Amino acid sequence: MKRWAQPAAAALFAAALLLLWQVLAERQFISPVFFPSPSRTLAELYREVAQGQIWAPLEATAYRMFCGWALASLAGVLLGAAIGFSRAARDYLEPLLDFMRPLPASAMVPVAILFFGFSNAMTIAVIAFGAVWPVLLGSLHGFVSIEPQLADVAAVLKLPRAQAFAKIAVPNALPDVLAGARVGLAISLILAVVTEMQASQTGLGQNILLAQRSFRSPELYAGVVTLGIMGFAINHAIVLLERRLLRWRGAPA
Amino acid sequence: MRRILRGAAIPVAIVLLWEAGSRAGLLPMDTLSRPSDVAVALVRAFADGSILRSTWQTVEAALSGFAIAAAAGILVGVILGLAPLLERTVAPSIEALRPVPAVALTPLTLLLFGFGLRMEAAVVAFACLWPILLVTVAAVRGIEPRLLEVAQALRLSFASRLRKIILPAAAGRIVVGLRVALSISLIVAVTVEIVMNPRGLGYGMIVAAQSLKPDLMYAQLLWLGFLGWALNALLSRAFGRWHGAFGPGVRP
Amino acid sequence: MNRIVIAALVTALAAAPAAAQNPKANIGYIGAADFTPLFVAKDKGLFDKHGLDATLTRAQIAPNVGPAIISGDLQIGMGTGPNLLHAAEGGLPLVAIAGASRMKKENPIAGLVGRTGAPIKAATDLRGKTIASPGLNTMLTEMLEKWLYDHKVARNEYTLVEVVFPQQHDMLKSGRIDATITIEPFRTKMTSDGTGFNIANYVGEVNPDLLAVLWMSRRDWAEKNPAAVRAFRAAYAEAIEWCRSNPDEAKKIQAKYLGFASPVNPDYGVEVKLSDMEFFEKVGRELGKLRGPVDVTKLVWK
Repeated sequence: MKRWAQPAAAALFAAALLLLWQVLAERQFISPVFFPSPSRTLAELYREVAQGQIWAPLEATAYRMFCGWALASLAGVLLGAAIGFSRAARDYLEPLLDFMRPLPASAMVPVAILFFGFSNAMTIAVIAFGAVWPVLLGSLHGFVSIEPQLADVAAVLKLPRAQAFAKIAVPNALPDVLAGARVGLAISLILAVVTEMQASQTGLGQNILLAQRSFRSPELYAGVVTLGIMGFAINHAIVLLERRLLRWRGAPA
Repeated sequence: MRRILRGAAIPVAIVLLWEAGSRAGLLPMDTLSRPSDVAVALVRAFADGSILRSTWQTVEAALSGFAIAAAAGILVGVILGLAPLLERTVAPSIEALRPVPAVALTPLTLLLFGFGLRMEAAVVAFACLWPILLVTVAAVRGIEPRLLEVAQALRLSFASRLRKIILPAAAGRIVVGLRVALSISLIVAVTVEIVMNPRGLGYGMIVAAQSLKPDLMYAQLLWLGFLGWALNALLSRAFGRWHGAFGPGVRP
Repeated sequence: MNRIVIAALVTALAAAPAAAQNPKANIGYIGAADFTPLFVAKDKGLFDKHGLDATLTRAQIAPNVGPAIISGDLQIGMGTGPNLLHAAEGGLPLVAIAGASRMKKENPIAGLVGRTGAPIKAATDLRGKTIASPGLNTMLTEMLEKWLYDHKVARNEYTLVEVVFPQQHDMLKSGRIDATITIEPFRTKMTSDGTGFNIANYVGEVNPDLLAVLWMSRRDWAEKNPAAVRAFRAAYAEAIEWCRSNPDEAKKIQAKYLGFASPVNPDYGVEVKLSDMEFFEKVGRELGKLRGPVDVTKLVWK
């Protein structure tokens, strides 16, 4: 098959979905006030880009998302390592973490506002709270599922613990950590948007909320599309990063 | 025994600090309330049945959405897993749809279904679909090719192939995806209730907060945490200890 | 003879339930004291008395009500002047069928409260400050923006954040916000324990007799159910009268629905005047909230 055939097929499929959306919108099953067509949405998006209105909120949301995600990843790896290697840490932390995990991050916002105020620090804290779990679970799995032979090798070579950690545990855990980080990033984006809505922070989330409340649906959907594009682009970037970092492994994860 | 004591150490310390802090007037009472008040509110909510009613509403919506997502996700995932060309055609569109926060869809589902179970289940289904779909595709793709060749050689029908070879081989990983989705279902259901749908625990928390009863709000929040924890504990019992969407871990 | 009587009785009995089919309405409200007459009308059977089969649904926040009316979940829902104008601009077929409450200068139910110790005496002192409001595009917030605009304070010279009423007290105390738009009973709570002080009765300064909350419906529903609209108005008016004559019992009913009783109550009023909507239209255009003029005559249901 020609090299361009696959991407072309994918593009065609996406176009078919857009066409379906256009048809549904024009049929007006749902009032066009709440369900705009792709043409109106894209026109609005174009207007926002052309007039430069979109960059400031986009930047604000992206900044919080990345900071929250970075904090979550760091915390996740550290906690995963602690629980993976220390029985004491596991005993003390695991029940608490198991209980905190199912709590929706949006329920934490009022408490976070009390401690951090209406600031970036607050949103970053909430995002980190929600995004830490996949990274934590991924690193925990990565650290505890070390191939027994590798552990034997470390023992035979009498590697000091620090070296064993750096040379064996970390590379072994890396694929799982990265997979967890990827999920964590998706969660970070969602939480960045949700916390903006709840705590009046400027950004894409607040734009979407205000558009919804003023019944301006093309703006609402333009915002959602922007989020979709952002998520898509970031995910792609991470996949490329993963491939580079894990090249030494050979087969893809 | 030592493990139980250690596990309880930090939570108990937090509760004691919280109680002491509020009694000393250090913590803002309008928003935080006190552990002792929260406990009383929780007992009362059980006594009058309100929390059980809300719980059932939330769980109903979460499970309905989950079931829809599971059925659709596994079916489509199997098809895409078996047909790599089709999967590569569809994948970019999925990647574009996946990052849309399910909560952003609440206005749309409200207009389609109105208040109630269906709108919430729809949002939950959207959120749960992706992990199930992606894990199923990966699981089916990872099936030992020889198994599939055997199925082909035996000329098994699609249904038989599914039942006898594909699902059993992929089951382990699919189950992990289902567990992730199940946890998501509860969180998303509650979020929809906080934001829009007037039913369930999420709605109960908002009404409690607005009625100036933060103790009742925290009672429901803690109960929610307990529910999530209990669900996970139950699943661990049934399917073995897991550590996320990456397969069961080997404990040292 | 007996058979005729029996036949007549059966016919009469069969007809009776058909006549007793009152129009139904699901009515949406939020947790505020403005809706006490609604609770009273339901509790005291006034809706039934006037021929309306009413159910009440509490929404988490005001912006949820409009979409629920459009989707048909609610037949009647609370709203404000600005809501209705934005809806009209957006092409939504909503109309005001009755009023719920008014804000009069001499009974300031809402106001701006500043944190004790913050150097805020006049509107101009709010430059550079963080002000909390219950909702970023609510009527109360828009009136504050108008008040500041009248005092030559531009929108980009202050920050508005959303904080729901129950949390405003703690936010003010902890210094997270410098001032807040609030209503009774929260305002008394803040001023009586020294957390805050009254800056201004800004609503009264902007408009001494303002339509605060109204009841809205979909135009096509109102067209198809004129009897229901009349019944609602009549029941509501009677409930308002009842609240005036039975203040203590009204408080009890209020506490039943809201979880608390408000020491100060708004001025209830079931009328919607064209001049009310004209005022909001003018302010909306002045502040740039509306993209163009809106024909308000279409928004008030006769």
